[in-house]
Amino acid sequence: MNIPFEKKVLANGLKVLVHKDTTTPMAAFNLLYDVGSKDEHPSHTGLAHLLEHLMFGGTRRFPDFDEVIEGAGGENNAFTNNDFTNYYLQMPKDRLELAFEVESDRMRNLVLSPKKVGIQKDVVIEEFKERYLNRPYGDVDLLLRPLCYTRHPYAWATIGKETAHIADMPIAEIKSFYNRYYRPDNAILAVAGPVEAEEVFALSEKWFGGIPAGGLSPRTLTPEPEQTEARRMEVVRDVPYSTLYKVYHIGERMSPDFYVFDLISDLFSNGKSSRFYVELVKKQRLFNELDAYVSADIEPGTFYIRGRLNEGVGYAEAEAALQAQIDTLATQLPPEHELEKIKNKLETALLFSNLKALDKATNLCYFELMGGAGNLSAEMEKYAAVDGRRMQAAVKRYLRDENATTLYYTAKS
Amino acid sequence: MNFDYRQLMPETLRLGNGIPLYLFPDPNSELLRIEFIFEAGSCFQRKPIQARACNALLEATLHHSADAMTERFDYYGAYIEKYVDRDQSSLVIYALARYSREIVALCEEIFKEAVFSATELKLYLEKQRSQFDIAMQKVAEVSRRAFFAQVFGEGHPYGQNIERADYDRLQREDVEAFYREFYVAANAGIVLAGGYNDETVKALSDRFGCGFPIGQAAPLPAPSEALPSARSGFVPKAGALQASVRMGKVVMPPTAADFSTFKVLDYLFGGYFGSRIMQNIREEKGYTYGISSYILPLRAHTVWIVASEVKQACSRQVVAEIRNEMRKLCDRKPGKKELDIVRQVYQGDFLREMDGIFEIAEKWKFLRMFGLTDAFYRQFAETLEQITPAEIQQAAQRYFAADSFHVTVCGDEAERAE
Repeated sequence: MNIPFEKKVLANGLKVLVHKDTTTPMAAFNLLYDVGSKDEHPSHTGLAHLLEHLMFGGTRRFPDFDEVIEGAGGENNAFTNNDFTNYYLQMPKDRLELAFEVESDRMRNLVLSPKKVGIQKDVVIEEFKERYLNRPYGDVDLLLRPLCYTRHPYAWATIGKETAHIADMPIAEIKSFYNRYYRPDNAILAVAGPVEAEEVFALSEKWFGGIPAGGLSPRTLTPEPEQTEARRMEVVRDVPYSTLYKVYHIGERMSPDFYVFDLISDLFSNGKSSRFYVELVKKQRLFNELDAYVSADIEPGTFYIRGRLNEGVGYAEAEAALQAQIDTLATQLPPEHELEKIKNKLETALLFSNLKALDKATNLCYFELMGGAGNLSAEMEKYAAVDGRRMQAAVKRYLRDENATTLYYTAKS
Repeated sequence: MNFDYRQLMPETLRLGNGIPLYLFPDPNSELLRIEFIFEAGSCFQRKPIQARACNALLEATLHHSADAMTERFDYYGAYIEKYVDRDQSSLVIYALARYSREIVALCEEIFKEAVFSATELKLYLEKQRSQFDIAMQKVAEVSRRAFFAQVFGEGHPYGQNIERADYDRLQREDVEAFYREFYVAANAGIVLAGGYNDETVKALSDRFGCGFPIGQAAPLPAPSEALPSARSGFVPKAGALQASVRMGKVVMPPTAADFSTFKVLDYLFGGYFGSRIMQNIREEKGYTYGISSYILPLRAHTVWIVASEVKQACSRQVVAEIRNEMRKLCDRKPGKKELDIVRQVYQGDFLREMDGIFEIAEKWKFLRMFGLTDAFYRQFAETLEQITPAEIQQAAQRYFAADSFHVTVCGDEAERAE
């Protein structure tokens, strides 16, 4: 997989990436800000995401952001996670300049009126309920994070610790967060589509070039100390099936271990021929659903196992069976055929996640944030280089009890 | 709008047994998409879950166990998606194009040599039952079910819902019988898209053009004469933090002359972020994280639906505001500027929806089901370009009559404000 691009850094620090893709009539415009929920104060959580909502509230020049974009046949949206906030637009190629115009405007001139803030707080609280509180197992992330992270700000979810944090967010706090982080030297822009690099660089200079740099000092987050003993928690909820969660600390997204664990998660649970499915779901009938996955956090992240227990199965039995799977991998090299299989599946998935101009623009920004957009094209090679021995070493090093957080999410009988 | 509509129409081959093979080539793609469509949706089943179980169990064959077959698909990097809706069943395979020959051979085996075992069925039903239990805790799922039962009546093939006990009733023989009756050449269509080559086409023609029972074409469902009249329903769910609202009715099919006009009205009303209901109910009142309307085209009846999860105490206000927005459109024509935005939004959405050969191939399923061609989208583009604010108002007056809508709310009764 090769995603070529050209790069230029403006005098104010804005990084601009361009990928030419002539197979689509639409241009994708992706603007990533290097600010996420990990940058929030622990008593004002949910702020990065709330501000993302407010970014659609308009400026004096463009009071209705969506209307301007929609009126030009464009579409736009955004998402926030623990690491960054990402805004993206898709515009007909001949209206691309409008994206530069509105995005550069709201980088500095956002209007934060008390009325709009009040309404978006309500909207976000409804989102909080819809996605986390009013659905079965919705609050798992809210429970697991503070258990896994004792010092690092990954201890709270992007939506926030609780709805009160959003309801009580002072407008001054929102303004100061916006002023600090929404700066050209804290942002990465990528444009992908039927465009020439020179025209994108010129547009970037024209619309963003005049915005002063913020001069933000590099972030200093409290690192999470190494976990030295097993952590456990049990909650009882009105859900139909008890569910077991096991979370292990692993390396950061760009560390070699990430690729190893991503493949281990596939070996365990990607597809109906995966080990967990064949052995624990189908043969032993312990779980009716069982997944393993990596968190893909930029800072040291986590490896998750989530298993929904069949009726009559106890946690001890389920955990022992999972441990046996981990032990097998630790002691027996996976067969070459199995490694080829998970790498083939990974290749399909990787090609799919870089098919569209917008996906490529977003991924280029994401990789630039993590040290260099060129690394995106090296992804498949990094996976290909993983062998059974590295898997074994990683399992032995990380999938240990002292490094695990276990949550029993128990069904109220 | 700069779009070549001809690309929506595939080259079509008729295989020896009559199965149509539709081709959407993209020689530069490293990926491949093959879709097998059968007229084998849930409306044909005699027992609940029959159609879904049959589609799901298409794995094991005379010569290989389900595990062995999934292992082989996985080995070639394939992802299989299975869809069963009210009208059709389909199996979509995404894979690396370099393995197309192997993938086609595996597909032949699962369709032609299917074997249904009681053990696999039991496992499937247990898993589905647990997913059912979880889904039933979601207000959105409960209101969705109740809504369709209300619109079509529980006896109607489109209105029937699965009950928990159904997972204990389905037998291996039911699944096999469904397969024998409906997974036949007379009911099949194949859509091939992406980076395939002549060899792939030949392999599909050779392997699927014979050796498949021709069978009987499924009797396609016709529109019902009498459907239940509009009413309001409430399903209590104690302790729910949000209420789920569904509102809607049966409308004209995509083949009708006035469909495109209604589609523009739907867009303006609830089809995009700047729509009437989103602006009022989310952006001005903050009652919800999202609200939208959409058209669901089923073969016998097309349904228009407004859906939202809302602040528990506000479900009545939300329903009142939806009605209010309908009334406003009946009373006053929309501004020219708003209509221009709708035009632009639709065109942008359309270009994105058609952006890529897999997306175009996916749309074919819809056109084919209704016997439509690219003229459908051309006609719509024309309507969109020419429609006037006054015509939107007339359409609202025609379709938004106050008493014609079903309303279903699921939420906590005690929290429901008067």
